[in-house]
Amino acid sequence: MRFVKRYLIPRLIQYVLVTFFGITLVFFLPRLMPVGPVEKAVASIQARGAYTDPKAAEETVRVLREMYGLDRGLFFQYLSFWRRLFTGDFGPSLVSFPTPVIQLIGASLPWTFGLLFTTTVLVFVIGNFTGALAGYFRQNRALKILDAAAMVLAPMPYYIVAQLLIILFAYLIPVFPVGGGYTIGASVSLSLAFIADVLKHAFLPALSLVLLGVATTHQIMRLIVQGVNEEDYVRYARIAAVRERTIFGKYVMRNAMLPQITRLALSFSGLFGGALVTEVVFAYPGVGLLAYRAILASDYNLIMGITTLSTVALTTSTLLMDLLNPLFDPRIRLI
Amino acid sequence: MRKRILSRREFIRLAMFGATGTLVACTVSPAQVVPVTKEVEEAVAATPGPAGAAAVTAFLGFPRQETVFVQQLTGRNATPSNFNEWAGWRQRDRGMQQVMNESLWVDDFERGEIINALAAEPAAYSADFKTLTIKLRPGVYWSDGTELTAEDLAFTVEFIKQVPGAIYNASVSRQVEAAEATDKYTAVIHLKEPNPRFHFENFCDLWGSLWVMPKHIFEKFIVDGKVNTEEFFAFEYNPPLSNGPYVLHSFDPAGFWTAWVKREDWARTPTGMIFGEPKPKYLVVVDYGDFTSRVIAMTRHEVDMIDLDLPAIRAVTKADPYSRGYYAERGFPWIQSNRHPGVGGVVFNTLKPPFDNREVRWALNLAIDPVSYVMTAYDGAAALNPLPIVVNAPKLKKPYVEPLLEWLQDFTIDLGGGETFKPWDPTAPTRLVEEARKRGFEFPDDPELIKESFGYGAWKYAPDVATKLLKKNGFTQDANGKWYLPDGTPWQFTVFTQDTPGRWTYQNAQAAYVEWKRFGLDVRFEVGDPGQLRIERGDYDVAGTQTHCSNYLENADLFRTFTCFHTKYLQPVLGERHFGHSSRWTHPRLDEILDKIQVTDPNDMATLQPLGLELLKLYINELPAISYTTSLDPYAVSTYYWEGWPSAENHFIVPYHHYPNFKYLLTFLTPTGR
Repeated sequence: MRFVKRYLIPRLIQYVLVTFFGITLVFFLPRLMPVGPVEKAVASIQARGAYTDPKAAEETVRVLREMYGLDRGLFFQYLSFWRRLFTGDFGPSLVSFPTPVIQLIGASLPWTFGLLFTTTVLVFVIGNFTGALAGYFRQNRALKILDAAAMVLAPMPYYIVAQLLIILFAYLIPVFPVGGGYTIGASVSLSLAFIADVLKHAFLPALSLVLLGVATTHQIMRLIVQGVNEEDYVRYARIAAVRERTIFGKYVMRNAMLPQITRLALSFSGLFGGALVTEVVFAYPGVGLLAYRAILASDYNLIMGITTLSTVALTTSTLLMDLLNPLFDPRIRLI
Repeated sequence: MRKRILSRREFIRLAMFGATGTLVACTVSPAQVVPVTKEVEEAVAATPGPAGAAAVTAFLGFPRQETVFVQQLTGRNATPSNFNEWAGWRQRDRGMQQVMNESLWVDDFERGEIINALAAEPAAYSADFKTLTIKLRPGVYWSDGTELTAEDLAFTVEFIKQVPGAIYNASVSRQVEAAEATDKYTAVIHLKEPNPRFHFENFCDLWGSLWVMPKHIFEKFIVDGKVNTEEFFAFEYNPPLSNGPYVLHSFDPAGFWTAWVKREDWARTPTGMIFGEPKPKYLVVVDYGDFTSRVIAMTRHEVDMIDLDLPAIRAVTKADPYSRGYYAERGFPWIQSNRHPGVGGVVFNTLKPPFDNREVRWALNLAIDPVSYVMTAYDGAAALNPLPIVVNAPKLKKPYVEPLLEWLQDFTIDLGGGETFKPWDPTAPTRLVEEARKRGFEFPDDPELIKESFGYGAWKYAPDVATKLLKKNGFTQDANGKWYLPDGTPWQFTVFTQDTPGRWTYQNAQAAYVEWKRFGLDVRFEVGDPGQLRIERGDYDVAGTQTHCSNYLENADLFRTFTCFHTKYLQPVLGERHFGHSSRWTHPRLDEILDKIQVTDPNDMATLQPLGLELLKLYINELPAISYTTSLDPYAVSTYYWEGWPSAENHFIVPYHHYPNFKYLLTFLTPTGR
């Protein structure tokens, strides 16, 4: 009961409040921009060279604002948003009117999710394992080489690494496609051939994310393990002649993993936001590019759809971490 | 009963299994797809793929030697399944405007003509310009076998008129009284007010026009004589009917490509009737990603035509012997069409001091070295175009460019104290060629070819005169060369662009910035986002953008070039959205001339030519913007699978893969047999 009162309920309240204020903030921020989706849509049509009479353009702006409900007050729009949200509806995309936002997100999300979930798990497993080994067995020559590789890779800008991989594996040794989610013209199915094609297309984007992710995670984990290794309880374990394997696995790794598990939970929230640069460089279908274009076009509803999902994912994974932490860390259960 | 208690380890294990299962279930749900047709699968099975392009042909697809692949200019499709162009922006360059739709008229600036496409002949107006008669080409069929008639055209106009928010509604509803089909191939449109340019404004395609709707598809939205707008906007029009030579084959639900297949009855389309059979069986419009990916795709022969920036064109022509830019001659490969009807340069915010002063604008113009400007902007690979019309435009040369060149020889500006200056420099193109040669480019020594490629002249580079003009207007300079405004405060301003490097707007802004910096001005270069609409809101000092109004059509009527400068469109408050020209420059005499032109037949050259010439002289005198080059959008083509692309040496059709004219271009291609 004490745990529920002092730990669970405050966190649930915090969860609701942070989600509410996060979403509210995201609702108002794009609307503070000096120009809205309608003005941008009309401007992009004008920019293409087709003739538009200035008066007709002005009239189009007025009509579209009315059609999209943007001529109503901000508070009215805000209430409508919450009303719709509770029925799982983000409304129509303003730029791709009247396609529902949920349909646009639904088409992109599986790609982002598939790529980022896989790479996040790989990064977590490989980076932490190699980092822990490198931190614990500091004199090992092979691990020292791994350390050096991580040191070179980690600070490299993602864009450069991605370009290098394309040049290397799509141009110099052309074994992978330049971009795309699957071969042009292929029909989507669950056949082995199609799955292999998707994996082939996802390989370079995944490799780029894994390389940099593993390098960073490796370095963080190595430092954490080095710190834990110096803790008194580890020294005592050594003095007490506990087996080295047990010290590494049960004393060092388990303690070092605690902050990394929190990082993992936060990384999962990014699954809904997409990986913009990856998607641009590899022409990979996903939510990142959708969000980018929504922001450029001030597509309020689409921005809200994507950011609401990201916000809820972030707050929910934080809450889950808070709730699961007592299982990983017995000290919290003492509260 | 004994209570089963989960241990911590068991709980974590179960939670992991549960989460993994859920995630897998989420990720494997397949996206909706338009399947490849049986016909195509059979064709693929029967066609051996070329060894060099195995990756492209193996999985799917489209036999490479029968397919043209091009880059989609506007990038990934936001709504891949929606083809209802009349309900809003649908990224028509995904192939819809190139091969699916035939407009009534199509402007072709390379040929120098307006092509009668769906229309059998030019528009005919009544004497009072209130009735427009359009004759349609007989024997044109929709891809479902229904004949396209005047009923479709009249229906389109009446339909669009009724639907606020539909594309072209603002123009049509404001101007059209009624539209009717008087016989199978004749439609008559009655206008509320006289307008001899209604057909140009709405039906002549130059990257956009009002497309004819298939009445038999869209009439279902009319209930009791009124359009059910909600259902109309929700209608995806998928699969769409085509009145052009290709029909939708399939598309990527993720939005990266759209594939089109040639209609068996292509001869029953305007393209087939005018130009003959398009040669490729398939056209695939793809977003290949950034420039690096596009270049690599071309070197792998996966794409036939892509838009690039100049460094990327240089990279691809170096890496792939089958690729080239606009010039087929490889010694100077990357200059591109200088007939594109848009002119780029830098625009002054004429409502903002000191740019409201004509002499300050002229001083800044004379502080620019045209040769150095084009070197910075385009590496020397662009024609000098110091007028707001294209100097090489076939239809404008005789009536405007030639008389203007004569006038410019004697054109003077007043420096004060009885001193004058002639700013025209006819030697600039030759100097530009010499400079380009110094950089290792080869170009023939033919004076006519130099004019054709590099222009007829430019404004002189005269920093001393620029200094005099500024000082005449109260500007001062200290011992370090720093400039001060007439009120004594330091003169500092910004050159703004809202585009990305490589785009003509960016290149122009950057070049002007470099020139003025060298002149000693405290100028800054600022890059913004197009979404901010800063230029349109007047939130800038000087900006790289188009220096005139809409692009002109291939007739000698300059109404579209200048109409947006009319005072009736002026938004005088900076910060408020302005729909006229971004310079916000106006002039009473310009209003008078435009009012006259507006009620003059666009073919009445006897009246229009002197008025147009006066507009141009007025513009040059006032200089609200400095025009420099045509709005260059460089591209590269590959001759690995297809030959017969237009080039600088043989410009028979608009050479861009994203223009409506691309359907015509496809009829000129020949397969290489690789």
